[in-house]
Parts: sequence; C-alpha cells; structure tokens
Amino acid sequence: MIGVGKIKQYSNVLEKPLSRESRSLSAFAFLFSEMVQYNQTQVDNIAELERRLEDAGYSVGARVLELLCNREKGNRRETRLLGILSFVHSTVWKVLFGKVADSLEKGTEHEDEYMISEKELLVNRFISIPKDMGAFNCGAFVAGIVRGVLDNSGFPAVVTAHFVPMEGQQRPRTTILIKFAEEVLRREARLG
Amino acid sequence: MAPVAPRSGEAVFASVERVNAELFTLTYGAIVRQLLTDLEEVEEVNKQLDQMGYNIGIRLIDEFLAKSNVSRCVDFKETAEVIAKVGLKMFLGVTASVTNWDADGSSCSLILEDNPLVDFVELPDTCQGLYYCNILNGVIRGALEMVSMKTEVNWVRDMLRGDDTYELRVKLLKQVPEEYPYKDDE
Repeated sequence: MIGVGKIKQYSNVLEKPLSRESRSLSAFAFLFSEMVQYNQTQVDNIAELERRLEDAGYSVGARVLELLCNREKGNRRETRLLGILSFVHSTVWKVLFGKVADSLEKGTEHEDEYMISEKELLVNRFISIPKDMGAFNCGAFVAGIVRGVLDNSGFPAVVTAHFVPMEGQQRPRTTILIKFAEEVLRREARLG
Repeated sequence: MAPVAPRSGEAVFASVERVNAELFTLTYGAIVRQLLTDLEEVEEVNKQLDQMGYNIGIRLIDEFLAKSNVSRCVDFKETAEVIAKVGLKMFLGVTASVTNWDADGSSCSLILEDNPLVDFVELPDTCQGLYYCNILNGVIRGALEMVSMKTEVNWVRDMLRGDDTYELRVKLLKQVPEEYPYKDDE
C-alpha cells in the first residue's frame, strides 16, 4: 500500500515541496535518444513516429501546465490568445529550456496560425536525422508539449514542428507551428 | 603531461550543462507511460526499461570517464564508491551511499535518499509489480560491463512500493579481462 511504512517521506506525493534542482543535459539527451529509438521499433513510418513523440510530449505539457500555473502564475488562468502564447513562449520555454524562445510570430497567410521559432531546440542538439527520414523532426516532442499546454488551458490546436533552412546557418532553424481550432478564434473574436 | 587529478562529483556536476529537473522527470514519466500502454505486462515493461538503461549505460560510461578523470579503480569497493559519489552526482545531481558489503566484497547496496526519477510519481494499483526506476539498473549494468565487470543489479527497496528508501543491490559476477581485437605479434 503506497504511503504506509514511509518514515522520512511525505504521506502524500502532492505535499512534497517542488524542487528547483537541475539534472545534467547529457542524462536528458541519453533518455531522449532512448525514447526515440524505442519508438522507432514500434512504428512503420515517419508520421507514426512523429505522432508517438508528440503524444509523449502532450503528457509532459499537461503536467508542466499544472506545475507552472501553481508556481509561476499564482493559479491564474489565461483566457486570451496572446496571453497563452506569450505564456508558452516565455514562461514555459524559460522553465523547460532555460531561455525564452527565440521568436513568436503570427502567420501571414492564415489567421489561425502562429509560429514559435528556435535556432536549435534543446532536444535536437545531439540528434542528426538520416537522409532517408526526410522531414522528420524530433521537435515533435516539443510540439507535443506545446499542444499539451494549449489544450489543457482551453485553446485546442494542432501543433507541428518544422525545419526551416536559414541562409548563413549550417543547421536549419526549428519552427513550432501552432494552428488554433475554429472555436478558439471565434471565442477570441467574441471577447473583443 | 602530468596526470590530471580526478574531479569530485560536485565539481563535474557544476561544470556540465544542465536541464530543468522537471523536464527530465516528466520525460522519464512519459517513457514509462508509453511502455505501459504498449506492452501492458508489467514484467515486460521492467525488462524493456532495463534494456533501455543498458543501451544508455554502454554510451554513458565514455562520457563519464572523459569528464570525471577518475583513474582505474583498484577493486569493486572503489568502483561502488565512484558510482555513488561521482557517477550519480554527475548525471542526476544526487549522491547515494554505499552500505551492506557482503563478506567477500563482491556485493553491496546503493542507497538513494533522493531519486530524481520519481518526483511526483505514485504507482496505481494496476502497476504494483512495476520497478519504476528500472532504467537505473540497466545503466549501471551497461556502464560496468564496458569496463570489464559483469554485474547483476536489483532493486531491494523501492519507495513507490511502500518501503522507506531506494536501495539497489549491485553484485559483481566476474571481471572479464579486456580482449584486444588484434593480435600483439602481427
């Protein structure tokens, strides 16, 4: 029975204080690489692989949202589109990756698209994609985290990660493309 | 060039690049969750976690040796101390204590007061046979195998199962002498 017999620890996992420590980047990189390798054995094609990484990220995002709402924002809930986007771009990125995201842009072609860009995603730092995997991006994990945060805040969206080649840079930039659902835009328009 | 002195776990940990602890813990949780959904059998998940840990361990040892500058361990006792104080500190930011040596010095317990993998975790009733941190077993086993030690690593006490701390039993099975891929006299 969980909780019985613990002398030092807290009887309820929710009462344990939130730690502010850090772990080594290489430990995380090893863990992430094993996750990708394991998922590769479970799928037949790249789309499936991206979906699985995204699903894994989704569960991280949902939990990160709860953690951050409690710790950083004093349990306030974002109701506006720009509010939640800047929360993701600044607070979430700062906590998870140690810095705010490089940029947040509104899509020019479609009203419902926004893009968060990063020169080099933390998760992709030690990953190279073989040529035969084409456009596969392990940033799908981060896209999943963003989708988890947005979805659980009441802003359902489709989130994907793309490589955008930049002149003058050897490695392409990564863009997280967020496409909000219809209802979000309608609600936003109603709120004025 | 004079041999470089081995660095303490603290010193190495302070010098490596770091990530947020929660990202690490939540990512590990996502992995375990995926495995449980795919494999469904708790025993299978335990085995898979151990295998993943093994794959990590065989690569992790290189980085460990490169960054920590430890010299060759004289005996298994020293090995266990190095794992607990330098290795775990360097990668996970926590240290363990080494206790319960058996009579011939081939088996010991690593006690982890603080386990970064299990922050925020509770095991539901359906997963009672799960060794949530089984990846650590594989990492230690893989890393030691690459330095010529065949070991067996098991969980003795696990807080998620109701015990009061995390205890890993590490048993040295045998020292495998290094084999060179070429013959000396050719």
